[in-house]
Amino acid sequence: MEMISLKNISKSFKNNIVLENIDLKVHEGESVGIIGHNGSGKSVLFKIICGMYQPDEGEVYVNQKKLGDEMDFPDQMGVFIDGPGFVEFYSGYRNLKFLADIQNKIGKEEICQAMQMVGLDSANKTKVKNYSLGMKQKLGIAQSFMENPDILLLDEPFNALDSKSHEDMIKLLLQLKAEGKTILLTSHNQEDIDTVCDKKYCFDNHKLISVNL
Amino acid sequence: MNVKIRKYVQWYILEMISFKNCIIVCIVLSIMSFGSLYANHISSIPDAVLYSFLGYGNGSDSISTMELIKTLVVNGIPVYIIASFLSEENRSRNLYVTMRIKSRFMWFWAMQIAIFLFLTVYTGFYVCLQIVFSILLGGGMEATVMKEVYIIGGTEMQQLFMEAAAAILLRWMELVLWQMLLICFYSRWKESASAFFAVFVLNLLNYVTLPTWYPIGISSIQRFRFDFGLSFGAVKAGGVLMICYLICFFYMKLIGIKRIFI
Repeated sequence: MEMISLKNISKSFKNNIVLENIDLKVHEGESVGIIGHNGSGKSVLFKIICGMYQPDEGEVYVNQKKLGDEMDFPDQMGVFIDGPGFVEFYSGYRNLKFLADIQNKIGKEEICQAMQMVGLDSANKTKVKNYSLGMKQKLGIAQSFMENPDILLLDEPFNALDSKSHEDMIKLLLQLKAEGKTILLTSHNQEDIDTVCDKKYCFDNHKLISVNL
Repeated sequence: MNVKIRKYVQWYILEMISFKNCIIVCIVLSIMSFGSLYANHISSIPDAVLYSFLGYGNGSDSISTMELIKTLVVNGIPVYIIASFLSEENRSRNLYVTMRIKSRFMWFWAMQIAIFLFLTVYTGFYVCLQIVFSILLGGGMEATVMKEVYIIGGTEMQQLFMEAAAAILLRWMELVLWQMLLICFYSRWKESASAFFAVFVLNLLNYVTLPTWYPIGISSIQRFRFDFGLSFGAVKAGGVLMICYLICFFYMKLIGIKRIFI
């Protein structure tokens, strides 16, 4: 089953073309990696998939539902884009609890488990403003999968992680993949993509080109 | 209010009302209020409240430039806070929350509720400041200055308080319209500084004598009534503000929200 389907997506900002005729299909349980330099359009593409931007042309289907017509933002999708945005004077746990309460699908146990999986201590009362970049990154990743979504969109999840955390994150993504999650991932590092993903694409002149693994 | 909306409103309020913003609001409003009351020798509570909310007039002959500046500063602070909040929003800070609320209209509606609450607290705080400073400056209950300056002659105390309440409510409603116009302009230009500037320009248009129903600055209607005995009352002014708000609201619902997410 196609979990994400992009048909002829184009997007530009003030005559600056970012995406041009992008077609992409991601099937259930598949892991797809996207490589591109800074400003190549990876984050814009992700924001289109999660409904934060509207494409100038083309259609986006998530879980067979057309974005914009049948829903504003996709169900069952966990997203990590552009670095975390949390309430700075709340602790990590309190931030995740706040987000979890919006949908009210999960409780304390699931939140603590998600934090543990990324290597954060849920009992740590440190305010997010005092977190290191790496810790904020981990918290952002934890919020993306804590509610057990079917699809994960992770934009540069390895940024700001030390080598041990980087390794743990790879293991975590492989575990999520083994659980049957559909994962769409971007990274500067080809090795990460090769390790985690089944398919690889590369941005070339605003277009998405399939690359052999 | 369901859990989703309540949490979303809470998130917005946390983003909007930072400690830094509170300090700025306290300092600027205190200086403005005390300076204005002291300079105009106002020391009674009804005088202070009425004087602070009467507005600045309309048309080059009757507009009070000092009052216009004061209104722009007092009304401008919360609108500036909302503008910078919109700017932050645009940097996808709320992505985690927005994704969970699942609806763009909910996103907008929750923002409106948060802004209503913020403006209500802000207006209430401004009223309290007038009361506190007028008490510090002598604090009587007699509307002496207002009786001299404006045509209130013989007005009962109860009537005076009704007028003050109407002036406060109209100012709050005008602020609500200002923020809505700000969001409408923002949805058009995606630029909060330009939207903020545009709202200010709409105030400056009052230097040209515009119809009394021109909504920006319409909270000055109380001043017109005291100055000129105009029959265009507070209820009509409130009606104009509400109609303008609803027009903007439906613009946002049908067009503006989509434009923000372009």
